[in-house]
Amino acid sequence: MSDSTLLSTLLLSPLISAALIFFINMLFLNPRQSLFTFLALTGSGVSAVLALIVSYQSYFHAQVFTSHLFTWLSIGEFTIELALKADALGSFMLLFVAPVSFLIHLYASGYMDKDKSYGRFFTYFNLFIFFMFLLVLADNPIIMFIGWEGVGLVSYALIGFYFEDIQNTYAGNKAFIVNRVGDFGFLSALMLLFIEAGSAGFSFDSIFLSLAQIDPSMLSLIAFLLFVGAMGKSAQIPLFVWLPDAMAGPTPVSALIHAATMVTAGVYMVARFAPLYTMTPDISLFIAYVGAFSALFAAIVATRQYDIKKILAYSTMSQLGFMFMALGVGAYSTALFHMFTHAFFKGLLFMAAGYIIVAFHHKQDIRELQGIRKSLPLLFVMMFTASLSISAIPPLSAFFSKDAIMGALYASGHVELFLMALVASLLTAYYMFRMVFVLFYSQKTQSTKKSSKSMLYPMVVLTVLSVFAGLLNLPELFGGNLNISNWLNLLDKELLLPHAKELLLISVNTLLILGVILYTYKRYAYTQAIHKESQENLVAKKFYVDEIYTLLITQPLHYLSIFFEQKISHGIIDRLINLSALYYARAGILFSYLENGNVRFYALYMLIGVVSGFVYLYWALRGVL
Amino acid sequence: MSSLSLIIFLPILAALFLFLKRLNITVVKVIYMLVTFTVLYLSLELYINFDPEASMQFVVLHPWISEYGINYHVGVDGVSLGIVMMNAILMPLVAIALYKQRDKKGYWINLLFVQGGVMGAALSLDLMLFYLFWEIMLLPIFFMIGLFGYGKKNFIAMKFNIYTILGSLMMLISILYIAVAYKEQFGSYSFALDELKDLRLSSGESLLVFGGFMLAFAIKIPIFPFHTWLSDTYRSAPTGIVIVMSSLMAKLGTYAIWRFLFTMFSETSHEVAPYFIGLGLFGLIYFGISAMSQTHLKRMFALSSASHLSLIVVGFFIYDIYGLIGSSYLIVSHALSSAAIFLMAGMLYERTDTYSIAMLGGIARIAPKFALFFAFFSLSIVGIPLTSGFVAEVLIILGAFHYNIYVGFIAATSILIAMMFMFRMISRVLYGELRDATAGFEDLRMHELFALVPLALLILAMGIFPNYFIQKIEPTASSYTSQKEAPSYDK
Amino acid sequence: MLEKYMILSIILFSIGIVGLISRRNIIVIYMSIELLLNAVNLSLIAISADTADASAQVVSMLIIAITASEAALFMALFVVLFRNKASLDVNLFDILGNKR
Repeated sequence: MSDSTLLSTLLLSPLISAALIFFINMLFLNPRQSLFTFLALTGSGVSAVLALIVSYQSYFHAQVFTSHLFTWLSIGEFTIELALKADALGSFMLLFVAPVSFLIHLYASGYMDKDKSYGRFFTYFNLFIFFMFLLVLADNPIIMFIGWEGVGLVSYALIGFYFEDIQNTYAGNKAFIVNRVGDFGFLSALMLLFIEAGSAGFSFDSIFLSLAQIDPSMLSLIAFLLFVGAMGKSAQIPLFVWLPDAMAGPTPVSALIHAATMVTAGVYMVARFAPLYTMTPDISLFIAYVGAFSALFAAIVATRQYDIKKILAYSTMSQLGFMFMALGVGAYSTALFHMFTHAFFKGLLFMAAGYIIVAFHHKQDIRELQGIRKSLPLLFVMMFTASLSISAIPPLSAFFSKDAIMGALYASGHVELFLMALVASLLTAYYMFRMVFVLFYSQKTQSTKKSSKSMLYPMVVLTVLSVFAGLLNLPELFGGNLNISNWLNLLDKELLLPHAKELLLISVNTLLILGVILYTYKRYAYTQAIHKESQENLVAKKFYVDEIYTLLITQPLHYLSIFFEQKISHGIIDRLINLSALYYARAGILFSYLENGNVRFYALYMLIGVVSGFVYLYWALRGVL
Repeated sequence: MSSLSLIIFLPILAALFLFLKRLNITVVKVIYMLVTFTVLYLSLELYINFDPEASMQFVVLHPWISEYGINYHVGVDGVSLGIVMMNAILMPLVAIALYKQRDKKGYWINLLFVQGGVMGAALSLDLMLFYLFWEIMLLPIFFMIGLFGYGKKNFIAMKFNIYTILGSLMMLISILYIAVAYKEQFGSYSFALDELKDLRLSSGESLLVFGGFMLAFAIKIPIFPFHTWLSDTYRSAPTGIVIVMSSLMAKLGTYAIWRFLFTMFSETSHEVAPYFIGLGLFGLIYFGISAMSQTHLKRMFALSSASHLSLIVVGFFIYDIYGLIGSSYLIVSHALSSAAIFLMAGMLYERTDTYSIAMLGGIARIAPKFALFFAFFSLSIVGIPLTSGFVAEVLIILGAFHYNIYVGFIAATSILIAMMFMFRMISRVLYGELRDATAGFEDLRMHELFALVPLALLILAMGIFPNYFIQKIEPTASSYTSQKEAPSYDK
Repeated sequence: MLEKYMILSIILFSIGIVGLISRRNIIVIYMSIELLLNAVNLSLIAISADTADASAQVVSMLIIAITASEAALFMALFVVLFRNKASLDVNLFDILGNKR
C-alpha cells in the first residue's frame, strides 16, 4: 500500500463505515445489531492499525506521509487543496486519537447494547472519528476548520442523542453555539491570515514561511482570534459553559469527544500554530493566564459537584487549563504530552463512570452511589489508579506529564502561574479523591449483577496505558531523554531547571498531594461529610456563570428580538407603510367631497379656475400691458 | 428555436395552453411535469455545453420594436447560469413534493408562468425585456396568494403587489430615462445592456436612476427597511409560491443588482457601495435577531432568508472576486436549502395543521426520516461544513475581510446569527415530548423523498466538491472584477 | 364706443354666472346660460362692428342657432326631470356625485 493510499484509507474508513451504517439503519427495518458492531469496529479498527503504522514510521524513520485527494476550491490566489499530511505532530495525534477511539468504540458496543438507536449512535461515532482525523491530518487551515466544525457538529448530535428529553438537545445547542462563537474567532483569524500571508499558498508550511512579513499588531490579532477558537473547543474561560452540560450525552461520547479527543483539538491547534505563537509572546502569555484561571476555576467548581460525570467534566476543563499554561510559556511538546496521557486516564475515568452508571440504573449522583466497592472490585482498582495518575503521583503517567508542566512554569519565571497551577493540582487530588472515597469507602454497600466484557477490556488496556504511558517521555532526571519531545521537534522554549531544583520541586509537590489525599481520606472516607456540604455558596452555584450569561446575553438578545420585530418592523416601518396607504385613501375621500354631483358647484369650480387663470395672466403680463 | 428561448417560452406557452384548454387535473400535472423536465433537460444541456472561459454565450438577438431600439436579446453567463439551473431543478421537485396536495389547475399554471418569467428575467440582456419578465413573474404570485393563500390573503396579496409594483414603476422610469439619455448622446434609442454601458450620466443623474432601479430590487430582495411585506406574505402564501419567492425572486433581485446596476453604473455602484454594505450588514444582524423571537415557523424562515439575502447583497457590493463568487454561490445554495426547508414546512403543515413552533415537538421519535431531512436542511442554512452554504459564507467573509477588517468581522457573525434561532427551533420541533398536533405524525412518503433527496445530494455535492461548480462561475466573476476595479477603492 | 359695449357684455355675463351658480331652479339656470351666451354674442358683434370684420358676426349667428336647438333640448330635459322627481330643484339631481 502506498503512503498516500494508506493515509487516505486511514481517513476514509470511518467515513465509509459511518455511511454504511447510516444507509443500513435507514433502509432496513430491523437490522442486526452485530452488523453495526462489526462495521463500526472495522471502520475504527482499520484506522487505528493504520494510525499505529503511520506513527511507527514517523517515530523511527521520520517519515512524513502525505496524500492529495482533490482540489477543494480554487479562486484566484485562494487555492485550497484537500491534502493530508501526517508530520510528526500529526502522527503523534494519531498515535493516541485512533487507538483510544477504537477502544471507546469497543466499550460503546457494550454500553449501547440493545439501545434502539444503536445504528444512529455508531453513525455519529464513526463520523466523529472521520472529522477528527480530518482536523488532525489537514494540510491547510481551511480543511482543518472543516474538521474542526465537523467534530463540533457531531458532538452536538451526540450530546442531544437522547432527544426524548428536550433538555439534552438544549445542552447540545449550547455546545454548538458556544463552539461557534469560538469558530467565529478561528474563521476570522484564518481569513486575516490568508489576506496577510496567503498569496504563496495556504498550506501550513507556506503560511509559516510568510509569517515574517505580517505586521506585528496584526499578527497578535490573528494569534488572539485563533486562540478564541481554541477557547471554544477546549472549554476555557469564558467559553467553557458548554462542557459540563455536554455530559447529557451517552457516556462513551463524554469519554471520547468531551475528554480524550475533541476538546484537546484547541491544544493541538495552538501547537500547530506554534511558529505563530512564538512570534507573539504577549498573546502566549495571555493564553497561559487563561489556562491558569480555567484550571483553577474548574478545579474549585469540581470540589462541589455531585454528578460523577460533571466532576470529570470540570476536571477535563482543569487539565486542559494545564495544557494551555504549558503552551503559553512555550512548552509545546510538554503540553502535547500531557494531552497524550490525559487521553488515557480521562478516557478511563469516563469509561469507569459509564460502567457505574450502567451498573446502577443510570444513577449519576455520587451521594446515591456510595459503597460500591464490593460489587465492582476491578473497577475500584482501575478508578483508583486513574485518580492517582491524574493527581500526579509518581510513577504513573500523568506524574511525568504534569510535572513537566510544573517545571516549565517554574522555569519560565512566572511564579504566579506556577502557584496557580500548584493550587489547581492540589485541588485536583482533592476532588478526585473526594469522589473516589465517597464512591468506594463507605459503610453502605450496594450490589449489582450486570457486567459486560466488551466494556471491561478496553478499560483494562487504558489502565495499563495510564500507568505506563509516562515512560515514553522520560525526562533526563530519570534517565530518559524526552523521546516524544524530540520526535515532535516543535519550537519549544528552553525551560530547563537544574536537576537538584527539579527534584526538590517534585518531592515537595508529591508530598503536598499525598497530604491532600490523606486529608480527603479523613474527611470523606466512611463519613457522611458529603451530605453536609452547603448547596448555597458561591462554589456550589458554580460562581453563577450560567446565570450571568443568561442575564447578559440570552435575555437581552431575546428582548432585542422582540423589540426589533414588534417595535421597529411592525411598530414603525410597517405602520408607516400602511399609514401612507391609508392616508392616500383618506385624501381620496377628501377630494371626493368636491365632486358632489351638483352641476352648479362644477360651474363654480370652473369660475374659480378661470378667474385665477386670469389673475395669473394679469400678474404675469403686468409689464407688457 | 434556440435552447434559451425554448427554456423561457416553453413554460409560458404551456401555461397559456393549459389556461385556455379545459383539461383534467391529472393531465395538467402530467403536462407540468413534462414541461419542467424538458426545461431541466435543456438547462442541463446548457450547463454541460457552457464554456466557462467565454463570457456571454448562446446569445439570441432578434429585432422586436426596432424604432425604439428594443430587441429580444438573451444570453447566459456564469452567474445567470446558476439562476437558470436552480430554477430548472427546483420547479419539477416542487411539483413532485406537492403533486398530491394541490388539485387546482391554477396552481400549476401559475407555477409554470413564474418559471418562464424567472428564466426570462435571468437571461434577458435588454432592459425592456427584463422589465417585461420582471412583471410577468409578479402576477402569478398575486393570483396564487389570493386564490390559494391562508389568513388575510386578500389584504396581503394587495399589499405585496402594490409594494412591489411601486418599486417596478420606479425602475421603469429609470429605464426610460436612460434610454432617452442614450438617444441624446448617441442619436438613437437603446435598451441593450452592453450599449448602455457607454452612457455617461452626471453623478446626480446616475444616482437618481440607480436609486430607481435599486428601489425595485431592494423591495424584492428585501433589504432593510423594505422588508415589512415579507413575513406576512410568506406566512399566507401557499408553499409553491413561498419557494418561488424565497428561492427565485429574491435571488433574482440580488442577481439583477449585479447584472444591471454594476454593469451600467459601475462608478455610482462603487460610490454607494459602503452604504449598501452597511445596510446589508445591518440587515444580516437585524433579521437574524428578529427571527429569534418568532413563534411561527414560516415567518422564522422568512426572516432567516432575509438575513442571508442581506449577506448576499453585502457580497455583491464588496465587489471583489471572493465576494462575487461567494454571493453567486450563496444564491444557488441558499435557494436549494430554503426551497427544501419551505417544502418541509409545507409537509409539516399538511400533517399537523399548524405552523406554530410551540405546538410541535417530538417528531424525531416517530418520523426519523423527516427529522433527518428537516435537521439537515436547517443546518445547511446555518452553513455547516460539507454543505454548500459553508463554502459560500467562507468566500463572502473572505471578501469582506479583504474589503475592510471591521466589515469582515460583522460579516463573520453570519456564522453565528442563523444558529441562534435555528437550533432552538430544531429542538422544539423535532425533539422532546410528542404533542397533540404531532401525534401520529406520518414519516416522509416516497414521492416526498424523491423531491428531497436530490436537493440534499446537491447541497452536499456543492459543499464537498465546490471547485467543480465554482469553475463555471469563476472566469465570469474574475473578468468582471479585473475590468471594473476602481483605483480609489481598495483600502 | 366699444368699451361701453364690452362693459355691458361683462355685466350681462356676470349676472349670468351669478344666476348659474346661486339659483337652484333649473329653468332659471337655463335662463342664466342663455344670458351668458348672449353676453358673448353681444361682445362678438361689437368687436365685429369695431374692426369692420364680418367673421365674428358669422360666429354669433352660429351661436344663436345653437341656442335655439339647445332650448328645444332643455325643454325636453325639463319634462323628463320633472317627471322623475316632481321638482326642478337641481340639488335633487346629483346622482353622479359622491354619495356617502
